[in-house]
Amino acid sequence: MSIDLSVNVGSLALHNPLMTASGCSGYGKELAAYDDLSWLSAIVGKSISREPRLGNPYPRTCETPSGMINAIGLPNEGWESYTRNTLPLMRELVRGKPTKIVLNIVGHDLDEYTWVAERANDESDIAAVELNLSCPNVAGGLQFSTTADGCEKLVKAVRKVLKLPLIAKLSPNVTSVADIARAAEAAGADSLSLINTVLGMNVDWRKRKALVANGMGGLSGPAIKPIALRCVYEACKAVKIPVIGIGGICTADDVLDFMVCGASAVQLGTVLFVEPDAPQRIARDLKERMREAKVEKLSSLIGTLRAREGA
Amino acid sequence: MLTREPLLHSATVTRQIDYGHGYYVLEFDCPDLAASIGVGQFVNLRVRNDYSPLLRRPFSVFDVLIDRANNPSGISLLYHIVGAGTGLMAKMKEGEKVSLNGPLGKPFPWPTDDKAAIYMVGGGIGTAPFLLQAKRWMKEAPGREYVFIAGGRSDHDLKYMTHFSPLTKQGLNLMLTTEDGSVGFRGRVTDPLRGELQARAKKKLTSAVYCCGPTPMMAAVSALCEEFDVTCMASLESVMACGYGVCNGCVCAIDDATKEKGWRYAKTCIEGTCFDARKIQWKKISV
Repeated sequence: MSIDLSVNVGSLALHNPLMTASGCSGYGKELAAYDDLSWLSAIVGKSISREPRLGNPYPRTCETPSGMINAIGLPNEGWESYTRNTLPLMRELVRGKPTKIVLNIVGHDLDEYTWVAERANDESDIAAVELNLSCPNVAGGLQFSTTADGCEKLVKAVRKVLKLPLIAKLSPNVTSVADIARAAEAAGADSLSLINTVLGMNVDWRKRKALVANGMGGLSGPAIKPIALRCVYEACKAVKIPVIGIGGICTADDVLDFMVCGASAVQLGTVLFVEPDAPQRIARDLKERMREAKVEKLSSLIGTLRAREGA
Repeated sequence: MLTREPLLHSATVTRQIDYGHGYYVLEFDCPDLAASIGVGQFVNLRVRNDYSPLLRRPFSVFDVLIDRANNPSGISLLYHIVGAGTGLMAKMKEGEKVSLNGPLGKPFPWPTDDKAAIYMVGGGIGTAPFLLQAKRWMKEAPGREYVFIAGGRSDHDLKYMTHFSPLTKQGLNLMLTTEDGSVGFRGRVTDPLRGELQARAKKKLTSAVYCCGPTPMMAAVSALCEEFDVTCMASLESVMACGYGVCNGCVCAIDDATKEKGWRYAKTCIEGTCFDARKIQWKKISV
């Protein structure tokens, strides 16, 4: 039985559903020392802003039960250095491979987002732009994701200038994911990716101190998978555009859980910190699971969750 | 592009040595990894093959084990039970398979001054990188003077110092300090270090200091070295999530004149773990 892992996220044709989540694989270089990047259909780079950013003070991470909290604060070299130094390296890394480059962008305000988005049009080899409108670790970073209005304004402004496929990355830290998802769709997003990290906190009561310098941070890892599944399921019911599932995915079964809930593809995040070779393992296991379940085409599983009888 | 040796190793536990009061040395069979370890490098250990606890634990390589044919066969790690991860490590039995990511970090750099005496200063399990450093460097540059100052709160913290005994016979000057005076000098590592640096300065002899341990200890060693205008390299034990450069968690604030603010964040896991102590902004890296 030949197994077909290919999926489409709108106009993006992917040879398998596995992308990296922004902020969890740098720009691909370090990961390439562990595994063939061909096991990934896309590298989503760490968020790039117009100006360089230093990021948050140390400590920036702490472990939690089956998860971790980060308050990294989006450090990055800024657009100019990115296009001069990092993007050329990424092009080298994926040359001859089916792996695509997705640019994740972030800004302090509307202008900074559109400034970067406009310039992304002129760079070759960027397959899509993902809007980080939901990083909890930056002042003002949540404004675009917590209200449908804010989200719609930003996506609309970026849509106006961007010619590439546009992915809006949504936050789970909202009252109604469905409302925000609909707003992003209405504003012209080609697809959605969710969830970003869940706002959380961890402390050492003996020291009377929070464990990350920022106080609060974003919870990630297997601990957030049920929240992510729920959000993806709700978003998929609310919109017609494709959805990329993110949140605590560690195994092939996790991937399939997201896909039956409606995700067309997934992003791997925290698992890469523990297992830099996870893409290969998950891709192989996906084929195995599908063989066992006698499913030939992975895409045939998307959104096939059934209502429970009697419910 | 893929020019590096494979970094993920399945290591087999061969021995667990209990030194009491929560201190252990864990030995692994892993010839490929053992052959590629440089002085001061670390490995990131996966405590279990599931996701609880989630993250790997970073440890300096304590020793590289040699088989009968004199080939590297494995490594050992020195650890102290501080939480759930190290608690599980203490339960590891011979024959268990453990995933190790490494070698990570850059090897410790030699001092530029080839006459400088090498001072190694460790606090608690911060003593770990100095066994391999002393072993390798004493062999490579036998003409130099080597001093290792190891400190703890009490003798309980230094039982594993027996590993250094063969080196003392080869000329390593080993000094122990404990805060309660139960073994060695009563006091802190900076007490004998001050005497040493003073004596060498008087004789116009140069020194280079390498330190590893709790951040306040390293900051104190660094300040002392500055007083005597002695090079000091500090190996940081930053809190990290990935250990291989992608998470951006383990940053250390480093002076950098080329930057607008005069400093920048360096990733401890790939730029370090060893940094020129004079360039470290100690106040920005305390946990």
